[in-house]
Amino acid sequence: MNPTEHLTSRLGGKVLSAYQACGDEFVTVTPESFREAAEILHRDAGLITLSDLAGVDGLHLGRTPRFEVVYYFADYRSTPAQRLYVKVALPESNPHLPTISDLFKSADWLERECWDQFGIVFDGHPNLRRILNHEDFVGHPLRKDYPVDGRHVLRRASHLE
Amino acid sequence: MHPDQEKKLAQLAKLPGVQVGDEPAEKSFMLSRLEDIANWGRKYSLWPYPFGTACCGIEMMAVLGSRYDLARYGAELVRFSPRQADLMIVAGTITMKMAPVIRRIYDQMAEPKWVISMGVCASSGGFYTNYCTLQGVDEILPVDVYVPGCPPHPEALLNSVLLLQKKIEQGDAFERGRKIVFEKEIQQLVKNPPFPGATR
Repeated sequence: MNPTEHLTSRLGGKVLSAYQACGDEFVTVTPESFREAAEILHRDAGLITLSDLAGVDGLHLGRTPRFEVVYYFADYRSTPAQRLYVKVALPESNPHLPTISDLFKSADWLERECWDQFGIVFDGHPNLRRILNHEDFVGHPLRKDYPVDGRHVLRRASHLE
Repeated sequence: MHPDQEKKLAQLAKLPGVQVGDEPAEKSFMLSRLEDIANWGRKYSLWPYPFGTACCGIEMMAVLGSRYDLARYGAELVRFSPRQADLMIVAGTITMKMAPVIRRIYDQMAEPKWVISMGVCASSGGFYTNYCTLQGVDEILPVDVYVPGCPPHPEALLNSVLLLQKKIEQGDAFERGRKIVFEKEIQQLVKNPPFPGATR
């Protein structure tokens, strides 16, 4: 069974779509079943690496729901490497997802970045604070409705104390 | 001859046993102002602190290397400790997150000290008109020489060092604690911009 078949057989109707594009496999799941999907991929399908995690703001694309988080799972032990994209759509108000930082160590900083830039909350994250922007920053700059020159002055840097 | 020198010579000539204008006397001493000597020494022994954060840093390394050879102008002794440097070369993009750090390092440098803003990113933010980039390092530091270019050619940085040497030569060597933020003047400029669109 490949990772997509693992997900479709175990989650059933919670897998909203599964398709192939540009030589990669994509699976869309509901936010409620995402944590279960990640556990299946990690434990059963053998995709033990989270290569990347990206937020997407579909404001100017007219998307409902507005946000999307794209996970890029991989297993580099096999040849050729197994890869799977998992997409989760999230609503505009209070977008949140369960953390997978306990399963995938790399998710720790990636989820922090996604929260910092897009304001997507990862429930259960042990240390969800800003990672790229400074601590006095207000807002989430990669949201499309954020002003492009919305700068915030960092007056005191805690790393200098 | 400088008027000060003439005055001094006239005073010396009154002293018993001193003959100004005699050949031995002319060879035995030289008159100058202390400021000039201090400035002369300072301008030929700049110790740069390299603050390279982007591609300008690479060009700065080229200037310090053997081909462009900043050592010819006495500024080759790059110090990575602000305590030992007196010329900060800000070469690259400065983010808002970096701003307190660069300010702290500048404050740690001993007086007298000078700043070269190398490249458009350090000078004005460059094309990074975005949410995280400082729009010119002169918002937090007193800049002496701006170097245009993206990145500037090594000769441009050499030229800026020469310009700075001229500035040091003419400057008041014993001026301390330079006025850093012209708060009143800035507020005046914000109230009455010199031309439309002059303020950010």
